[in-house]
Amino acid sequence: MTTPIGEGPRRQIQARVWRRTRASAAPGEPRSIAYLYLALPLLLYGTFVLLPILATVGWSFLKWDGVTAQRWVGLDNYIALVDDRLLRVALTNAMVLIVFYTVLPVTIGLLLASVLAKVTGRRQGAYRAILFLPQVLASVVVALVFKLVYEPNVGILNSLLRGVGAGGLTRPWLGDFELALPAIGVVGTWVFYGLCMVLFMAGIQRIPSDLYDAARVDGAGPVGEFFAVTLPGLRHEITVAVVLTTIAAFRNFDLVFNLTRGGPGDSTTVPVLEVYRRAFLYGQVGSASALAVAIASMILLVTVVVIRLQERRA
Amino acid sequence: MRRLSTALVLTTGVALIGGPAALAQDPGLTTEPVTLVVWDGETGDAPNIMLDQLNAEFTAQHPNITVERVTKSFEDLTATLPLAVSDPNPPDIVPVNYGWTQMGAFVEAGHLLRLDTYADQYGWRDRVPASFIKPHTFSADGRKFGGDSLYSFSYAGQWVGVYYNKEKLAGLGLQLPTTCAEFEAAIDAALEAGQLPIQAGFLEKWPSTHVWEPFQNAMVTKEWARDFVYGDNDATFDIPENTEVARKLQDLAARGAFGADFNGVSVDDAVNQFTAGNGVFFIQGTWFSKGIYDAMGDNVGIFILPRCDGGDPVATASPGYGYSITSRSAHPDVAAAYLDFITSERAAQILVDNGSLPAMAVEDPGTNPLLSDILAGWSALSEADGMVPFQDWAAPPLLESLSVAIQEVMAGRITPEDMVSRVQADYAAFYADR
Repeated sequence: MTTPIGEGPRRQIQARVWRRTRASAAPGEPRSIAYLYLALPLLLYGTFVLLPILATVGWSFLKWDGVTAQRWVGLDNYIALVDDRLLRVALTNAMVLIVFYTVLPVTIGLLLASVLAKVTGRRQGAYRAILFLPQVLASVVVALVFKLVYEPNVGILNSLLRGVGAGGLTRPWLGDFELALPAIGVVGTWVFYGLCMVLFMAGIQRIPSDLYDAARVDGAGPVGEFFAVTLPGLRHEITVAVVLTTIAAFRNFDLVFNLTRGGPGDSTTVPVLEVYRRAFLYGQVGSASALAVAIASMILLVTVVVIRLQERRA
Repeated sequence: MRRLSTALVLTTGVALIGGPAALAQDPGLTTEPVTLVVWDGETGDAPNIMLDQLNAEFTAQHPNITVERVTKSFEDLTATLPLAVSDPNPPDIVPVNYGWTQMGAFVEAGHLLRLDTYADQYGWRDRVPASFIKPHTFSADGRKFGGDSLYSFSYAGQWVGVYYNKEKLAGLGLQLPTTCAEFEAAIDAALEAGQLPIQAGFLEKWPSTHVWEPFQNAMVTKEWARDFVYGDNDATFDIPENTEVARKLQDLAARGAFGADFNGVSVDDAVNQFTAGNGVFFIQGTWFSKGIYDAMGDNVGIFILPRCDGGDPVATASPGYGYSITSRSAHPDVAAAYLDFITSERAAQILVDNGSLPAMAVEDPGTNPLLSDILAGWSALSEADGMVPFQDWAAPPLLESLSVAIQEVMAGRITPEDMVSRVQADYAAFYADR
């Protein structure tokens, strides 16, 4: 074996570098300069993400209005959450919203993605862009638009119903104790189906086309193809979509706040709305923090469960 | 009326820099350069015009003083004020919400300056009725709302009443109701004529409390209404009169007095519906009067719902934004002089000239019939000592609790008895927790 030309000097350089760093770290260890590169992002992350989270956890053990002296109350704030009537209502509402934020968008997204996958060329891009649009809009804008849709007297929906002679079906959509929550849910579906669709379309492109060929050879029609190839092939994407939309359903605040303020009565109240009220309107920062921590833990739990389920099946 | 006559001294035309009365009251203010940082929540209309104008006049009178005006929306104030007043270098003057969440907490934490000495010096208590002063007070330890110490003062007033469409009422062959029975008869007459009696919009929830209040003030005593809010004499919400009010509203709603859609209509849309001729009455605060007058002109008026026992008028009425001086302000005397200036007769005159209700009694310019009704109502309430505070001031969770309970009882989802006991439970929970 001959040594390639140039190998010798390179080794020497290598050795010199090692020698210089050996004093502080073993060979192959990242050099301490790396921490300098990490410092700024760490500082930002620490200041704006970690510190507020830690502060919230800390406040959750206090009786504090945000202004006057703090008092340590241990787990009292958490214990009080357990038999809070309003919170039970809010949690039940959040569960209903999961149907609209997760189940429906994933279903619609799957349907659209498998149909659009068959469309080729520039048209596919155009359809995708149009169908994805709701996801891009700011939620306040979405809320304003749907306020105009649902307005009882001159709103678009009731006007349409009257226009087609179905005036008997008009409702005060956001003011109806039974319909307000579904009405908000539909907005959530409208916002999130586009995200699911785009995720699934990307996933479909990843599925090897010979799987489809094989399915077709075995005599599968479009429906059989969907269940035998597309659905199993999109397992990862579906998990991502379910996790993202479930988090959105639990964290819902802006749509509810801008559309109904949780009304009529408590019929559309959601947990995060209650966090806002306690922290900013009632002067119950401790209780609000405990609730925020509880919601975050619940989201974390749901996420872990969904991911575990997917991994086990994989 | 004494207040009226003093107001006449400073009539509209006094546009000269600095009214003589204002100058005379300033007790040897510093001549050092001073910058006052003043926060306010006046994003539009008369108070905004008034503050701009008075700031210019104040700084012209005192060339060494600069007023730095910071205007924030109500939501913005709610979120930022607690931090601002806790700051070692806070704004000198801030608008503080009445009641527990802001004023109570700020006083307890020692962030606000007691204003009683300034009030005596400038004679603030002589300008307005005692029931107007009370929301500005707390005990010095912040534990008692409506206490013996003054912590803010205000230039504007507002009250909750019944707007009425004059043509529509006349079209039903009716006069302005002067008794509570006549008001209900008018509702029945409108229903019979196939018209919407009362336009309402509860989408934001809080508007429901201002429909509740006039009916309540027609039934409960004003002493109870005050005791409940200020936590005096062990007042509770579950009194028979409140159950009656709940039953009446439930019954009226069931008979269609508010239409079918009111829970789904925003209060602004309800205003638009009312001004477009949909509804004989509209029950809300005078804060909507400008838009309503602009749309309806002389065809609209407002009245205080008469008490069902025929007694003196009582209405939910309150000061506008209450302005406090922060305890760490470096220039409390200058801030007080400024606060005096923006709550003076001159301020009142500018407000009324721009179509808005001032705290102090002023002469009716007579140009706007709705404003005339509002001014007349205000002075009737002043004379009869009929101002009662907003019910939701009683405890921070009550705005939510009360509006939810009102919506549910009006929708027939809970009984009137359940409605009052639910509100009482939230009220009691607040006091138990303190």
